[in-house]
Amino acid sequence: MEFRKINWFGIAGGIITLMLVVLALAYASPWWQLTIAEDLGQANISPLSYNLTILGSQIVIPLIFFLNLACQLSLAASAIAILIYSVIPDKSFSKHLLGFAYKKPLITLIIFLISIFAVTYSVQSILPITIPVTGASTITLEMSDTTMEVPITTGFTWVFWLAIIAAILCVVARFYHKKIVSPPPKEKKT
Amino acid sequence: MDVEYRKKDIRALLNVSLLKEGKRVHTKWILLIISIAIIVCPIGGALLAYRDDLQALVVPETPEFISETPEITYLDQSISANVIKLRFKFVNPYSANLTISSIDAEIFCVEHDVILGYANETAPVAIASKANAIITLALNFNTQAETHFLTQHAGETAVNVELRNLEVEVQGVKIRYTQAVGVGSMPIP
Repeated sequence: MEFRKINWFGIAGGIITLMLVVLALAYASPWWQLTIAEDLGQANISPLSYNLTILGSQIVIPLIFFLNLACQLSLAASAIAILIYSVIPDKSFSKHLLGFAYKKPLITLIIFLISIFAVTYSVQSILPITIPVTGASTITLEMSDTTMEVPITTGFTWVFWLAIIAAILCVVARFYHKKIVSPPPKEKKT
Repeated sequence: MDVEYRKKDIRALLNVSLLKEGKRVHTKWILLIISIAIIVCPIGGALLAYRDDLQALVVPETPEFISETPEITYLDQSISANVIKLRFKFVNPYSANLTISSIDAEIFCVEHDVILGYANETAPVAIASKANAIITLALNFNTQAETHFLTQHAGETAVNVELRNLEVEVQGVKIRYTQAVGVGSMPIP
């Protein structure tokens, strides 16, 4: 195996993508986190796992579980495909493997970001509360004889930045593919 | 012979080329099927699993924190070292441990609508999940209260009071009660 015939960007992207799946399965590592007051509630959200707990009660939305499952399978398949491609980038089927794999982390990331912005924006539109995408805010809830001030903090976690790195590496692997499989320049006949 | 060999070579080359093309087509189709399957199978599985109640697929079950509310009951009062203390029972119905950081309220004479002082609980109270705890509020009377007892309640031994502007802080959440909490008759210190 020639050193130059390995797509190192693809290997790195594949490993990190696989890490994202493992982190989600083993630790339910979120990409975005919302914390209500001092541990009164927490929303751990990522395209691969979802966990919403308020006052010790878990709020389960089955559809999200199945969507997470689809994302887990998609990213796992993408990681495996790009890893196989990366070690044999010059085979006839390699380009198909690359085409299948390189977009998935990026698409997952874009869909996730759109969802986060859409959810926070729609909550602000429907309810008189502000949920920032990152930062701190206080939600004021007024009931019949009580007023509650609930501080919340939101933010992206390190796993989100890892997902960005994975997406970038997979896209770079696509461009690097042209460089490693391009035929050597022909020698001019004298 | 040469022409025959050449024909065989060309056929062999064509076969290899077709085989490679076939493999490429197969790979393309297999990857396309995998792409569709990894999206369709979980969603299809979800629809199949919840076919009898599709609403349950999207709408979560009502969490207990919506149906359950903490119960605060006034128990009694005691006087020690010239300080009146009120005791409340707090029932935590949630699956999470709660810590009450502070409780502050104003004490009012119900009869004359006069502020007599402040009630507060300074030491944090930890209440385990599904358990109850006793909260003690110390009443601190102001100088206006002394004048009020001497002028408006002279000769009386007790006064009817209530707590107003009750503010409870639970792990960073501030809860303000706009309704007064009746304490009842309290001995004049």
